[in-house]
Amino acid sequence: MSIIQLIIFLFVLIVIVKLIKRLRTRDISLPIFLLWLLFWIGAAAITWKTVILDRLADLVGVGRGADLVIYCSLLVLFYLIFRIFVRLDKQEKQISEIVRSIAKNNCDLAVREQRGERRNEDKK
Amino acid sequence: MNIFIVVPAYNEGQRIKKVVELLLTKFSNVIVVNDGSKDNTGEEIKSLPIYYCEHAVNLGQGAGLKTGTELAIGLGAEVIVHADADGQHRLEDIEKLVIELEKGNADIVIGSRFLGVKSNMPKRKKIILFLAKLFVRLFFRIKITDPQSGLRAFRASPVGASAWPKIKFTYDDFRHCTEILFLIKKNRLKFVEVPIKVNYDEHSCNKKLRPKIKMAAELLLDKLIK
Repeated sequence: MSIIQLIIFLFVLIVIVKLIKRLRTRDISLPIFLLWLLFWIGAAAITWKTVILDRLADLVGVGRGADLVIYCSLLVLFYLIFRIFVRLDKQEKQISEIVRSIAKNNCDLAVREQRGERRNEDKK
Repeated sequence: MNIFIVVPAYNEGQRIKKVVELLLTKFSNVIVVNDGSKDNTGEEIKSLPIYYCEHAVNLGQGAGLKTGTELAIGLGAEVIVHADADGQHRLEDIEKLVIELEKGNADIVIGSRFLGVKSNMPKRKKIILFLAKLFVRLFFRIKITDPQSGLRAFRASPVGASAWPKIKFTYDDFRHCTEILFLIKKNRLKFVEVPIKVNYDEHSCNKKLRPKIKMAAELLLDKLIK
């Protein structure tokens, strides 16, 4: 076993332990846990038997197994960036709505207090 | 007519009081939206007879205008005027806009800095505003002399024809100017431009220029998607 394989195994092991901890504290759901578990076991398997990767690369028409990993990683990373971008945009809009809504409510209250409407309502 | 002046303010502590006091000499309903200022903008005007509203964090000029406009409508505004907080807009120009709107020839009246009235506008700003005009004309097919004007008036009467639902923009930053124009065109609203003169001093010249390449690119992308 080469040093790089050892490092990858160790990394995968740490990630899987962390995943289990996250599942226990219910930070992630069971399907998400299984998905990530499968992914990291797959990564470990490919690292263990590099022939699998080369065969896969041959199957999809890519020269080397390492190239296949890079292409797939790029695709996944681009997709994740897109997802993060969309989520950020959505959250920015939500924060804006919350801030504006609080500001309007506070101003409304101040106006009503000035007009004495609140006191009248309290009497009722 | 119930006229409301909406003024979004961000870090304008040095001049906001003067601006609002001037507005109060002619208009009784002034809404100032303090857009998360880090200076003393709020303290400066809290004692004045205005409607004061505060964003907990800085959202952008568009968001300030949206909050102020919605508040004004809730308070029974019939005409809403958007104005800047840095004292660039003159009181007589605001009155001109309201008079033009009251004539009933347009749904929205926009102040233009390029309709004959000379001002001390810096050259750099002139070039950028020319590019912005070109951008709006080319990509949005809107003919307007001052697409980045922050001075505008429109009807908001809950009884009569209100322009607000049709020009209710989504952008929180300076892109709202272009979005309003796009919505005017999309909803076939009538707009009139009125010549205005803007006071440029050191403070306003040092401010960041409104149109940015990033904003233009995002506007274009949005147009393509929508």
